[in-house]
Amino acid sequence: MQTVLMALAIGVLLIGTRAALPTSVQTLTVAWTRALVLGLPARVQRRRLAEIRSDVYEHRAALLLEGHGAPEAASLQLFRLVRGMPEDLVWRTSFEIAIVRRFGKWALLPLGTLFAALATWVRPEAAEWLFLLSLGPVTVFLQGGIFRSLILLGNSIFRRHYVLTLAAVALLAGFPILPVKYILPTVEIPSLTPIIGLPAGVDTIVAAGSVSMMGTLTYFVGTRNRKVEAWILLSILTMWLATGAFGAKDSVAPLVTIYFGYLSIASWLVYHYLYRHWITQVKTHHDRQAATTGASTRA
Amino acid sequence: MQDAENRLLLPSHGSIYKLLSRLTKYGVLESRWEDGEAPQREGRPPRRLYRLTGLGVEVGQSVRAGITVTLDLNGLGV
Repeated sequence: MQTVLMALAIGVLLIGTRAALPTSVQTLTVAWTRALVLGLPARVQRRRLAEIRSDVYEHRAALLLEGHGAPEAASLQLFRLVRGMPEDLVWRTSFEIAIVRRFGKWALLPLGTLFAALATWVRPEAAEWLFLLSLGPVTVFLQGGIFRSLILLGNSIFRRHYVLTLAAVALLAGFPILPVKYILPTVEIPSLTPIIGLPAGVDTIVAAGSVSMMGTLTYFVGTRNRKVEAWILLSILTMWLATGAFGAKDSVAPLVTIYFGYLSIASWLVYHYLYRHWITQVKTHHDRQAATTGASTRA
Repeated sequence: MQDAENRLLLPSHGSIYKLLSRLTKYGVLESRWEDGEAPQREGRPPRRLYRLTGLGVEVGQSVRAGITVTLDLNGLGV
C-alpha cells in the first residue's frame, strides 16, 4: 500500500515536470522492476528487465503513433504501472510460494517456531517486522491474501494480533503430524469469540476479531473468486477505517465490536453456504461440459 | 492495442508476462529474443518475439470451433 502511494506521489511530482515526464515514467517502471526482481536468480532478473524495457518502449511508441501527446502517453503508462503493482507483487511472491511448495510444509516448521517464539516471548516488536519479511513463504496459506495482510499490518492495533495469528498458523501448518485439514477448524473456533465476547464485554475482542479474519481468510485459500476477494477486502478496509475513526485501543469502540460480530457471522455463512454452493456449481458445470462435448483436446 | 477505448484496460506488465510464461510452458507459444542489428539501428530495446506453435494453432482452431480444450503440464508439476 505504501509502495503504491509512493508511486502515486512520484507520479504527481512527475506530472509537474512535463518535459521530463516520458522518460521519467520509463525510468520509474524499470526502477520498480529492478526492486521487484531483487534476490531472484540473475537469469530471471535479466529476462524480466529486458521484457519490461522493451514493453515500455513499445507501449509508448504505440501510444504516440495513435496520436497521443507525450505527457498523455506517459500518464497512461504511469497508470498502467501503478495498476499493475499488486499483480507484480503477486508475481514476486510466487517465487517464495514455489520454494515452500517444493520443500513442502516442512519448511514452515522452523519458520513458524522461530516467529512464534519471537512474537510470544523474546521480542514482540522485532517479531512483527521479521514476520512481515517472511510474508512470502506464509502466503502459501494465503494466496491472494497479501493485500489484506498488508492492510492489516498497516494498522497498529491489528498488527500485533495478526502477526501472532500468522505465527500460530505457520507453526501449526509446519507441524509434521498435523494435516492442514485439522488446522482449518482450529482457526475457525476463534471466529465465534466475538459473538461470545460481545455480551460479556471482553476487552480482547479486537484480537479475537483479527483471529476470526484470519480464519476466514484461511478458508478462502485458492478460491480465486474475485467477488469473495473484493468482499473480504472491503470488510477489512471498513474495519480498518472504523477502528481508526473511533480510536479503539484496549477498550473497544461499540461499532467495531458490532462489526466484528457481523463479520464473523457473515464470513461463516459465506463459507458454509455460498462457497460450497459455488464450488458445486463449478464442478457440476465442468463435469456436464466434459460429458456432453466429449471433444476435449488433451495436449 | 488497437482499441483506443481499451487503452486504460491494457493488461499490466505482471498480467501479460505471467500469461505469456504460462502459455509458453503449456507449449502453446514459443519465444525468442530478437537478434541482429535492427534494435541497435532503430535505437530501441530488443523485442521478445512470440509465435504460436503447432499445438498453439491447433488449440486456437479448437477454441474458435467451440471445443473445450484441456491442457496439462506433464512433468512440470502444475
